[in-house]
Amino acid sequence: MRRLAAILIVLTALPAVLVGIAGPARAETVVAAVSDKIVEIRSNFVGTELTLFGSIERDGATVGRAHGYDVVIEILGPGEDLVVRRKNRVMGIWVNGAGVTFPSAPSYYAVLSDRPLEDISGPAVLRRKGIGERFVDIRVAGEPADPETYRTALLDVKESEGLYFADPDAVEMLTERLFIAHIKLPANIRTGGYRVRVHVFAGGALLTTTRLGFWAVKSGFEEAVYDLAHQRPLVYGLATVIMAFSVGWLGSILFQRN
Amino acid sequence: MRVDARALEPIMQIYLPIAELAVNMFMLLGMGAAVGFLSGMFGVGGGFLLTPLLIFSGIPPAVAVATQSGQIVASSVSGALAHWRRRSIDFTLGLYLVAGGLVGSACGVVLFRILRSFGQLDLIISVLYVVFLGGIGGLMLIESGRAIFRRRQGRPVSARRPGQHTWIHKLPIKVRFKQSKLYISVIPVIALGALIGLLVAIMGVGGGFIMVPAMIYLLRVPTNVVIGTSLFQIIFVTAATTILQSISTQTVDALLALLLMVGGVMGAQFGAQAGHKLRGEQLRLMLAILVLAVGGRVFWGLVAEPETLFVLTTAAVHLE
Repeated sequence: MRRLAAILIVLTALPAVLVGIAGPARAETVVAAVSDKIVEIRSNFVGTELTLFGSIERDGATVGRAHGYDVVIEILGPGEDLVVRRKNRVMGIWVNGAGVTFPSAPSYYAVLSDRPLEDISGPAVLRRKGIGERFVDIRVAGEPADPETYRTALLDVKESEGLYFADPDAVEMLTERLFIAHIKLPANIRTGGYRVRVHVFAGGALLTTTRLGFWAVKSGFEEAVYDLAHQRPLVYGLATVIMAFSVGWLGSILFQRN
Repeated sequence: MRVDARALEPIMQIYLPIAELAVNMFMLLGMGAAVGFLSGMFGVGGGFLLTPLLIFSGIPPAVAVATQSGQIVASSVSGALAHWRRRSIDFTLGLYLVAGGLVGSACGVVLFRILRSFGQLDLIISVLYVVFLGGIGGLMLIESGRAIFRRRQGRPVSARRPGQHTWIHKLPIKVRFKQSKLYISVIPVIALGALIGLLVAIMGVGGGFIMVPAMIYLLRVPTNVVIGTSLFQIIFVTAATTILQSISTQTVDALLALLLMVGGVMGAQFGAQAGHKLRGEQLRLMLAILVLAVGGRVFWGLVAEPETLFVLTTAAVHLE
């Protein structure tokens, strides 16, 4: 019991100790907030834009940065199991081949920065932190042949749908330490929790990261329809049929000739 | 006064709750109306036109097919009410067809779900469209072409001789259908109903384009009750399919269905008026060309080199 308590104390203290060691050189922190915690999807939803504000905080001991700061913001939509299939020609017809599954891949992935990602940091750092389309954590299920081709195909399709993108102009440094970014959300986004990671770089090194998030929810009529369809599908189906009978009946009365 | 089209765009766009995308509302109403016009003119349901149109315009095939069954309910109710007033529905025959249709539809919905999980739904939908549209369109083209040719030559258009019997009339379990003046086995009736039910579930069509010729040529049902009875069956089979799809695949988009219904019911009225001005075989020739054109477009989608060799489908969504 005592040993357990001792371990717990050490574990609790560990981060503080580590911060203490890294303290003098890594004293920046970043605070950020998005303009809306909840994005409401209504029948007139055609996509929207959120604003993210942030500030890089320093304490007295922070060393000066000769080349200023770079900010990289990642936004990851709710996960979905995606299946990528290659089309093969079978007897002259294009047929979907066996699928390669990417479990829990982000439905939306945006990388916003103040300048191109490759100018901000090297591939070693980006790979380790999983930042950018090349390195983001989209793992393949099982061990299919040639997984990279399928991963690239996934990125291509998502990009063409406007759901994955990198925008090296989306973050604007207002001052050396204050920044603002615009998060574009197209009309075809999924509902659910969106994770936002704000990274601060200087001289190619990652200094600090903060995480926040927002929700995309269907609202009003859209919400009612969606919930009914998924929670009470029988009622939903019956309601659709009753609606169809009414429209058909109304049509025959309104346009009744003779 | 000039109106900037872009300023109107947010008003015209409407977000579909199940398809989960924003589409132009007037495009959908217009598509419904245009297909409704054609269906009123030719006396067909129009599902075989509207489902491919929806898929071409970006609606996911699973949503297009399932939603379309709801829209067909509305257009068939309109049509069937008119036939009911004229007493041109054989309810006994209709009920046997409905019974078969319900079985077919239930099987179709299960099959729909299995094909979707294998990622082959789009392919099967397309192949079925090519086969049925090509076959029916081809037959209609030949038949109407001959009729027009005969009329040109001054010969009368020969009517079907009644009283011809085929192997179908030798099957057991015979039932008397008073209004149709028929005494035939229920086996082909139920089988036909089941086939239509299957097509409703998988193709998002009413199936009238198969039902009507099958009733006339195979079952020898008198022409005056064929359309009404076929509509009667289509109403109940598409209604059942809508409910089954809602439960099984949850891909019925009620808002999309409503927009198509409103457009379709209105368009059908004007189409019916236009149809009266044309002769039967001319109508059938035009319909044949239209059917073949849609089939050809679907066929092209199957054989043409795709823009991207990869397709992406969502197997499951994680709600966090």
